[in-house]
This record gives sequence, structure tokens and C-alpha cells, in this order.
Amino acid sequence: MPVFPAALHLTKRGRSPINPNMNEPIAEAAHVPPLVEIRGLTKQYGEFVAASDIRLSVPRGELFALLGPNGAGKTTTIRMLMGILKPTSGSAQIDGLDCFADRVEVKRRVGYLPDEPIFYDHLRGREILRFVGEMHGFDAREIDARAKPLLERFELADATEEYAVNYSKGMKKKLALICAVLHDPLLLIFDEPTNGLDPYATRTLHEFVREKVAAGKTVFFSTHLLDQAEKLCHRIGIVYKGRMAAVGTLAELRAKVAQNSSLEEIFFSVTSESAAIPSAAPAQAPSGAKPVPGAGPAGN
Amino acid sequence: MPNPPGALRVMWLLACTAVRKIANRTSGNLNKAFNKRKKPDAPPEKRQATPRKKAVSVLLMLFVGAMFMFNGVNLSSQFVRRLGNEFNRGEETDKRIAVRAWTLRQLHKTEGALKALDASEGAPDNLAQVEKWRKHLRESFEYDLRESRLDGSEREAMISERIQTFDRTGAAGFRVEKRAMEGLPVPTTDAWPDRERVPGMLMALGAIMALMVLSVLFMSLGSGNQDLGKVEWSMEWLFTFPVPSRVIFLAKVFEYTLANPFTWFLFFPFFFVLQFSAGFLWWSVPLAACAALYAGLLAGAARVFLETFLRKTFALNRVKNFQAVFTLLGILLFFVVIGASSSQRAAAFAVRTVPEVPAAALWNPLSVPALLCDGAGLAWPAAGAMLLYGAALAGGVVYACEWLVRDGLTITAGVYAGKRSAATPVERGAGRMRGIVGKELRLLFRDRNFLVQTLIVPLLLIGFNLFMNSGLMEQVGAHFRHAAALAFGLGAYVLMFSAFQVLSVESSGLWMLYTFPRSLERILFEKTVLWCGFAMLYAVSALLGFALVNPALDASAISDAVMAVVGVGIYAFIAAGIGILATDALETEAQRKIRPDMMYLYMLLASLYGFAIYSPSLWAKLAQLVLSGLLAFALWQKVRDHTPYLLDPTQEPPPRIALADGLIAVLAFFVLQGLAMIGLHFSDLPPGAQLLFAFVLAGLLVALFTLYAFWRHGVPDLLAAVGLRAAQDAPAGSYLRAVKWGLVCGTCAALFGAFYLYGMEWFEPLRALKREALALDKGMDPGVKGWFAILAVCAAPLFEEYIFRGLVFRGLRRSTTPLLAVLGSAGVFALIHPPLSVVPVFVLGVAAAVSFEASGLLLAPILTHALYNAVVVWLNFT
Repeated sequence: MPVFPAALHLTKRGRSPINPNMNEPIAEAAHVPPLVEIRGLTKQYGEFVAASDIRLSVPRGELFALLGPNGAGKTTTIRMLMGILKPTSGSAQIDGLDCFADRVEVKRRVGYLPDEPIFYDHLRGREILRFVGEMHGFDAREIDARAKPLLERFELADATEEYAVNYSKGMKKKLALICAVLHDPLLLIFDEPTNGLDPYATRTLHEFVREKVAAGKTVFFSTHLLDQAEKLCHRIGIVYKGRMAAVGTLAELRAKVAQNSSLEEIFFSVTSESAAIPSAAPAQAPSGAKPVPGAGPAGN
Repeated sequence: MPNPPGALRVMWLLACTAVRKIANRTSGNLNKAFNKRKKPDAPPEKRQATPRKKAVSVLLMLFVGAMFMFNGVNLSSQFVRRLGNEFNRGEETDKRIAVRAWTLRQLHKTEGALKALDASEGAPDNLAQVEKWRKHLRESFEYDLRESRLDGSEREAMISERIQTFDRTGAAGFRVEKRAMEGLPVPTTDAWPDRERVPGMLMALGAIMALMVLSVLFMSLGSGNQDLGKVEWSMEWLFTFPVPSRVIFLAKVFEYTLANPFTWFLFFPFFFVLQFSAGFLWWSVPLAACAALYAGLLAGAARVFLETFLRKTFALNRVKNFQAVFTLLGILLFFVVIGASSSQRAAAFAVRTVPEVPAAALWNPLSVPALLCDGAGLAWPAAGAMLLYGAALAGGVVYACEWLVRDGLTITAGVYAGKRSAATPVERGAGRMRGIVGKELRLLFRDRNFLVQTLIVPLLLIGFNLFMNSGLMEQVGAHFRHAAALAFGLGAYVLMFSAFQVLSVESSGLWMLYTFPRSLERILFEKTVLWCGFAMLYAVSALLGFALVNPALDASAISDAVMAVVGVGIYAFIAAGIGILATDALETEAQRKIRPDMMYLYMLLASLYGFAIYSPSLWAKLAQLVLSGLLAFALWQKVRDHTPYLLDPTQEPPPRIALADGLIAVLAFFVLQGLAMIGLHFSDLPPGAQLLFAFVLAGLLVALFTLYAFWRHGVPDLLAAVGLRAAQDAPAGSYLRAVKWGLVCGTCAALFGAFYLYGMEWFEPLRALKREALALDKGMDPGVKGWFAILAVCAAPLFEEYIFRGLVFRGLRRSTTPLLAVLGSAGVFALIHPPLSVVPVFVLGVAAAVSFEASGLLLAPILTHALYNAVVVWLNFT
């Protein structure tokens, strides 16, 4: 079981039994800018507003989850981060680069896993990996070296000779995941990563994600599985009807909404109202906040 | 729980569903043909109903259906007429000369009249009467031979032969030739041959029928069949219903028979025409429907069986290979059918070979409907045979399929039963293609369907046309220009299915392209380069092939060849550009991804280029090359603007001046000038004034309209972008600077112009051109000269600079280096001037562009141009 450096700083009383990360945001040195900086991001289709004034920043090494019901604007936000859509107003920056204007540079730092990956009909799994690696600028030897351990870990090594179109849903997801992490990016953007994975694969993915975070990478994923968010993440953002309804660690969310409540209760309470709750604390990582013993959440 | 549906109900349901699918797909295509712009006000997140058939599109579909039906009737009628005539002509056992019915009547009349005149020998105007009747005789024969393809002396010989026969034997030496008029699109009983020749005709028709059914079968299994190669087979879904497999297969057979467009638009018109000509007249409507259903049943049943068999026996990628083979076979057979039905040679061939085929061959299940037209009593047995064959085939197929799936629908246990490869292959073969090009090539050679469609069908098409159309081969051999045009056509055709689809084939994999640290436009560009290579390879090979056949190659042949090959290269980028802009990346259904009218636009442009290959002057060819190149560039500029917004349903790229706008303005300018000249022609103004006013009018219209259009689209800082006003951040005194630059560049250009005028004397071709121009000048009256001078010094600089520098240069400048922009705009500018003045005008263009770039105001190039024109006009007219 990987060790969580953050957890070492906690006292016993503050530790959440399920997710040691949840009690403490990432301690960020003041002068290092966050990896993902979203300011006032809005996307409007004529009169319809898909995303409105999203404000968010994710420091390096954080595991951030974007929660929300269907049609809340999660995918729109992710697409704007990937440079697929141009925001109507506001800006999204990754590592100081604008997501739309400098999208080619941004892609070097980002690995993307879509919700429903579709592959070319007539390519085998290993050929797809080869193609993806070449497009990122690696040569064949390097691609094989990088892919091999990933394939073993996700138990896809036996299936690489098969045409990817014949894979089951879970296998396609795994292949897309390997494609996303092949170039070892700074930021991983996952759209519903465990959708379609069996429990074994889900566990492997969770471990993998934790390892990446421990190694200093940042993970940003959207999900509507509350327990997954509760278990894994440092911070959670809840989107509802295009607005950022709430953001923060579980402790902060509890402080804002209701004490002693589970994430599920918080989620329903926040998304059932027509207007979003303005986040009490600014949606930035509290910089330099050191964990104060005893200042954790009142209860578990 | 309700009872599961009975067999008949299942058959009906499946057939209706198939018809509904076809209707949706067709109406979707038709709706697509009408402009589907991004609507910024329509919210896309709310799920809109996929557009239903409106009354309008039902009418449209009926119209399209009627057109197809008419086309079928047309082709079949012509075929039957031709074949029937050929059979009638057959073996001439009757020695009498064949003439038309009308001619025979005239002969009888003439005979009677001449006999009467013979009897009354002594009558006063006997001789005159005889003369009249003999003249009438000759005219009758001339009329009879009117349509024959004989030249003068042959025709004379035939006429004298007939007159001699008449003198010998009278009208008894002639018979009525049974002949139907060829080329008419309606069926007629005249085409039906005589009693003795009917079996031969039926044999030929039976052969065509067999080929048609086979061709339809193969084409329906080929690349048009989207379902066969898919992982989720639609049969699997049907098998989830509480219906026995036997019933499902029967219903599928029924569906493929009834809801198949080929049955109604190919078989039905053919049988209708056949049976109408055979004498059934309007009874042939129901009869043809039965025959069409029978033929459809044959194709449909075979298709069900083959689909089931292939899916059960082979892995999916092998099935797709089979599909490719079927596509090839289907297209080949289809060409054979079309060729056989439209060529005279094939009809003659049929007449010759048919007697050697035993009559029993006609009873094979594919050809037996032909026997329905047999007037000798074989019709009823034939109908019985059809029923028998139909029932046997349908029943046999259903039972066979049921037996095939007795142990389950699919063959593989698990989808991912693969083997771990023995050694990790690091690099198979040195220099293997990497990246997007490698992927394209790999997919091209794996996806046999795509390969056939893109690379093999064009060869088939051209090859078939060359083979069937003997005149074509001769022409191509005789003049190399035809060969060049054909080579270009081949290349352009290959491009239509490859480069044009560069974005739309990425449909599902597009998300992956967005994750790479490369711009999408660059990726698409590389793909286009690959297809450009293929198409150019084809064009060059075709040219080499034709060059071997044609011994006489001269300089013009070289220029034609170069024009063809370079044209193919440029058109690869034009095709890709148009294709990318016409593709709706958000559309999931493959049929509706590309706007069909854009495909026609591409074909139109390609044919214009092909036409330019034929123009005799080198100058026009060069102009076409340069313009095509600029068009390709303009299209890719737009592609570059649009690709970041591809997946955005409502947002468009920010409006800016593009090269495309400049090119359209140039075109509009000339067209309007021409129109204005025509309009002013009717006024009383002197010709010089007409010229001036037409010019000014056209220029004003273009300028005002373009400015208005830009303003509407919201081009930021419009006047500064075009150069009419100084930019916001320009330093003070820019007007003064503009004047300075204008005068300086104008002086340089004018000096060059003067130098050129005098230097022309040293070069013979230029001197000849100059002499021509001077002669023209002397012919002009002084009044016109005056108007011309005003035009040259005042009007031309104003409007031409706006268009060429303000629009074209600025459009180019946005996307390329200043040098290329200067050269490009000067090039276009030079092209529109007569050959004599191309070089100095090019220099003028360069000078004007330089002054514009340096000062940022249109004032500068206007001054340059005015100065140059003033100097040149003064030198010329004094």
C-alpha cells in the first residue's frame, strides 16, 4: 500500500479513516503558481449557458475531482481545458499557458482519457500505442519501453495483437489510459475514468492514480461516483447547472454546508438548490496553510 | 404477457423498419444539401429531435424516386430498341430490300402512277408527269436513307441500286423494314423482333438479367453494406426477440427483397420496358412488378445466406476483405451491364453468339423471367418455374441459415482471445513510416474496402470507359492533350474519395488527434500530402502509359503533361481544403458528415481546370495554374482559421480579411465590369466613356459590398485593416510618409516601365507584341484615348489597389512572409493584364505592395500606380 506523505503530518484525531488526503489540502509554497488556473470561465451557446464563471485552481500534486450531475458542465469544462472549445469569456491556464491559444504546448503537459474512447477500426492495440507515442515524438524503442510496464500492470499485454475495435469496453478504457500516460505528462485529465471498469481494474486505477500523485503529478478527473471522490481526492469541486456550486476539501465542504454529513448529503444539498452557494473561501488552495493539530474537522 | 408476433407480422415489421431507415437516410442527405450553418442562437445542449420528414422532403423524395425510375425506363428502352433493331437486321434471308413503311407506300403509289402513265402514252404532258414521279421516287429513297451514316458517294450508290431494283421488279422488290427509332426514352412494340428471332432476343436479355442480378447481389454485399463488417451485428439484436430464427431469416429475405431500392429502380423499369415492348402493353406494370420482386428475391436470399455464412465462418477482418472483393465484382459487373446495354458493338456481338447457346440455358433461375415475354406459349411454364425457384431458394436459404446458427450466432468465444507476440518487435523494417502518415498507410492497406474505393475504382472507371468507348482510345492516342486531360481527371477522381475525406474519415478517432501536441491543421496537412503523392503517382503513370502509345510528342505535350501533374498536386490541397470546410465534425452519422453540394463544387472546379488544359495559349495555362495555387492557399488559410473551432457547435473563428475574400473580389470585379459594359452598350455614351463608367461602377460596387460584408461580420478595425485609414498604433505623420513612399515606389516602377518600353525593341517576340499594341492604339480615336487616360490615371489605381493590395495582399500577408505576400499579390495583378505588359505590371505590383507594407495606407500604392500609369500612358500616346 503506497504511503501518503501528506498523511504523515496528521495527528490521529484528524485522520479520516477512508481518505487520509481529505483532511488537508496540499501545502503549496507561496510562490509556486498552481498548475491549473481557471478564472471566470464561461461558455455560452447563444442564449444557453453551459458553463458560467467557473473559478478553480489546482496546485501541483493534487488529486482534484469534479463532481456533478449529468449536463452540469463537467465535460464542457474539460473540453475547454483541452483546447477543444474556446471559452466565451474568462481564461483557463495550464502551467501558465493559455489552454486555447497555446493548446499545442499544453498538450505536451497533459494526458487525456475520454469517457468513451473509440479507436480506429483496423489498428491493433500495440499499433495504436505506437501511433500515439510517435505523435508525441518518441521513437519505437522508447515507446515499447514505456508501454510494456503499463500493459503488464493493466493486464492488457495479451490483447495487444487484437484489433482495438474488438476490445470490450473496459479494455478500451485501459488502452486509452495507457495512451494518456505514455508521455508521462504533468497533468492527467480523466473523464469518468472508472466507467466501465471491473472492480479489479478500478482498484488498479486508484492505486495508479495515487502513485502518480505521490510522484508529484497532478490529476484532475470528473466523476459522478461520490465514494470514489470521497476516497481518493484532496479536493472536490461540485458543479451544478454550469456553475461552481462548491469547492474545497471535504472538511471545508462540511464546514460550509452541514456538519457531520457525508459527501453524498453535501452533494444533494448543494445541487438541489437552483442558485449555487458562493464558496465561502476563495477557490484557491490555501497557500501556506499548515495543518494545525486539532484544527481538523470536528468529527470523522 | 402478449403473444409473440407471428411470422407474417415479423416480416412486415422488418420491411417497414428498413424502408423507414432508407427514408431517414435519404431525407437526411437532402436536408444536408441545404445550408446547415452554425446557428449561434440555437442551444445545442438541449436534445433536439433529429429532423423528421417534413411534407417538403417527402415530395422531394418522391421526385427523386421518379427521376430514378425515369432514368431506368430511359436506359432500358434504348437498350431494348437497339437490341431489337439489331436482331431484326439479323440474317437477311429475305432478299428484298428493306425500306420504311412510308417509303413502301410511296413506292406503291409511284408504281401505280407510272403504270397508268405507261398506259396513256400519248397524253400531252405525259413526259412531264413521268419526270415528276421519277423525281418523287428518288426523293423517297433519299428520305429513306436520310439517317444512315453513309457519306455522299456510298449513298448515291445505294440510291441508284434501289432505283434499278424498282425499275426491274417494281414495289415487289421491297419490304417493310421493322425498325424502331433509336434514342427515344420510351418503350415501343416496334422494337420487338419477328417471331423467328424472338428466342435469340430473349437469350440476350436473359444474359443481361443474370449479370444484373449478380451485380446487385455483389454491390449490396460490398462496401455499401455498413452492417456486415461491424462488431455488433444487427442480427444479434434481432435474435433477442421472442421469435424463432427461421422466421427472422425469412423476414430478412423479405426485407431485402421488398425494401431494396435496386428492386424498384433497376429491375422494375427494365422488366416493364421489356414486357411492354413484347406486347403486354400496360399489363406489364403488374407483371414487371412480379418479375422485379422475383429478381429481388434472388438477390436478397443469396445476400442473407452469404451474410450469415461469412459471419459464421470467418473473423471480422476477413469478412471485410471479402467485402472489398464483392465491391470490385459488383462494380465490374455493373459496368459490364451498362456497357453492354449502351454499345452498338455489344448488340452485334449478341446477335452473332446467341444462336450457339442452347435454349435450355435460358431456364436458369437468373434468366427465366425473360421467358415471360415469349409469345409461343412458354410464358406460363416460365411463370411456374419462377414460383418454384423463388420458393425453393427462399426456403432453402432460410433452412440453411437456421442450420448455420444452430450452435450460436458468432464463432469466437471471447473478443480478446489474442496471443502474446513472441518477441517485442522493435522496428520491423528500416524506415517504416511514422506518425500520421504511417497510420494512414497502415489503415489504407488493412481496410480493403477503403483501398478498393479509393485506389482501384478510379482505375476501373477509366479503364472501362477506354475499353467500351473505342473512339476514346483513338483520340487519346492521337492527341496528347486528351491524354493529359484524362490523367488529370484520373488524379482528381482519386482525390475526391481520399483527400476530400481527410477530416471526415477521422470521425471517431478525432478525439485522439486532439490530445497530441500538434495542431490539427498540421496533421490534416500531412495526410493531404500523402494523398497528393498517390494521386500524382496515378497521373504520372497514366501519362507515361499514354506517352508510350503516342509516338508524336512535342513541346506542347510537355506543357500539357506538366499542367496535368502540377494540377493534380494543387487540387489535392483544394480537395482537402473544401472537404475539411464542408465536414461537420460533430455529426456522427457517416452519410451526413459532408455537405454534398461541396462535392459538386469540387467537381466543377476540377472540370474548369481540365478545360484549361485544352486552352491553346501558354499564357492562359499559366494563369490557371497561378489562380488554382492561390485558391488552394486561400482554402487552407480558411482551414487554419476554422480548425480550432471544429468541435464547437456555435462559435465561429473571429472574422478577419482572408485571401479568399480577395480572390472573390477580383472575380466579381471582372464579372461586374463585363456586365456593366453590356449594360452601358445600349446607352449613348462614347465607347471610351462606357469603358470608364463600367470600370468605376464595378469597382465601386465591389469596394462597397466588400466593406459592408466585412463590417457586418465584425472585422475589427476595418478601415485600418484595409488600409483606408492609419492603424491605431501608427506613428504620427503616416499620411506624409505614405505620400513619400508612394512617390518613391511609383518613380521606380515608372522608370522600369519606361526602360521596358524602349528595351522591348531588342527582343523579337516583345517587339511583335508591341507593334500589335501600337497598331491598336493608332486605331483608337483620340476621344477614347482621353477617356482611357482618365481611367488609367485616376480610376484604375483607386479600385485596383483596394482590391489587390487592400484585400489580396492583406489576406496573404496574414498567413505568410511579407516576401511571398508581395510576390503573390503582384502575380495575380500581373495575370489580369495582357501579355505585353506582364513584366512591368508585375514590377508595379511589387512596388505598390512594398509601399503599402511600409506605410500601411492605401494612399501609397494608389500614388505608385497612378504615377506609373501616367508615365506609361504619356509615353505610349505621344
